[in-house]
Amino acid sequence: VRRALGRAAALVVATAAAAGAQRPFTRAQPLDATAAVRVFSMAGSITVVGWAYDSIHVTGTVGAGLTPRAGGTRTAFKLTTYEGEQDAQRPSHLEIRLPRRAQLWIKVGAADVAVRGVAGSVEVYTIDGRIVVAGAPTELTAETMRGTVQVTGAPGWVRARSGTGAVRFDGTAADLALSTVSGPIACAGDFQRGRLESVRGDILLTSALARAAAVDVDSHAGAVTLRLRGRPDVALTVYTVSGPITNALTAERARPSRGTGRELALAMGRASARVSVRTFSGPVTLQPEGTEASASAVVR
Amino acid sequence: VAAAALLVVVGVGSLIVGRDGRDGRAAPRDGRGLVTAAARAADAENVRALEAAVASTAAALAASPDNVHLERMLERARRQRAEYLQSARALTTDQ
Repeated sequence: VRRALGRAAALVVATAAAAGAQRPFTRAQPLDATAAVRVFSMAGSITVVGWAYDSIHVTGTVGAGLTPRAGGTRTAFKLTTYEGEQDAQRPSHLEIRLPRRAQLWIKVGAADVAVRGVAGSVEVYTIDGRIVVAGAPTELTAETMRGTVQVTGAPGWVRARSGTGAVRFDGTAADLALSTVSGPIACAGDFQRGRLESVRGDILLTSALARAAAVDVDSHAGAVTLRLRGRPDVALTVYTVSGPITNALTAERARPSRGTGRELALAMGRASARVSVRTFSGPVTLQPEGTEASASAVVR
Repeated sequence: VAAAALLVVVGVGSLIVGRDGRDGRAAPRDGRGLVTAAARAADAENVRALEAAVASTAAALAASPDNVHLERMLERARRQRAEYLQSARALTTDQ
């Protein structure tokens, strides 16, 4: 009997704690199509979906004891669950629906952020949280210290950065810059201007290379793999101080560079695109697509 | 009964003082409230890696001063370090 009573008491305490841990939150108001929306939270998750209505609708749960504040005008809306206290034990989970062309700004600590269907500008900043963006925002800035960044779709302008986390892009963009310190970078798609750079992370670029595209790939100590689709028109230069160069695209071979290091220059087709690859000690591999494992094997 | 009473005390107590033993008072707004200890460690490691990349590239350029590739690599390493530091500062402030 005592054991049964003990179990029952434990169940009551656990249920009460779970019920008190989070509470529902809802807020809705009219909002202009291009309104500015600012979201600030600490832990949990933020999901944002662009829709065709001129209003914003926030639903979800907030951590016990937190006092969410939300409101604004038709042109500016602010939502915060963060009270200046580092407390990942009280996560908030929110889903926000807003006009598709809204200008979105999100800053969180350890929360995961997912954005889809937003065609205005999008800025997301996290410390530990994962960032996932799908769609075609006019401008996208995604920065995280330890989290990963995953972007799919056709954003116009992209700046994605992580310290130790992976950065992955699948789609098309006019202007693209992906950067990490030690996280791997996997980029698959086409763009006019691209810059991929890391200190220690491996970089995988898979592309057909748009006409007149200009791409710079730099890694200090990480491996760089360039995987070309179809029959690209590209002028390609590779330089490395001490890393090996493997060329499976053409018959050209690397040769010693002036002073120090080795370099390789080759031209394919009409050479309308330009690609430059540089590493200090990381190996460089050039190959046609289909000869190795997919990008997901590099960025897990 | 004793076990049940203990569970109730522990459960209620944890709700009052928090799971990490803090007394529930808000942390001071020192501008770094969003940052966890793990993130601080990762930040320090990232800065060390960036500094090491700049130092080794600068040393290689000093040995081969006419190498345009190394000049650009050093430029890139310095820019990346500056951008990271600026980004980390912005990420770790409350606003």
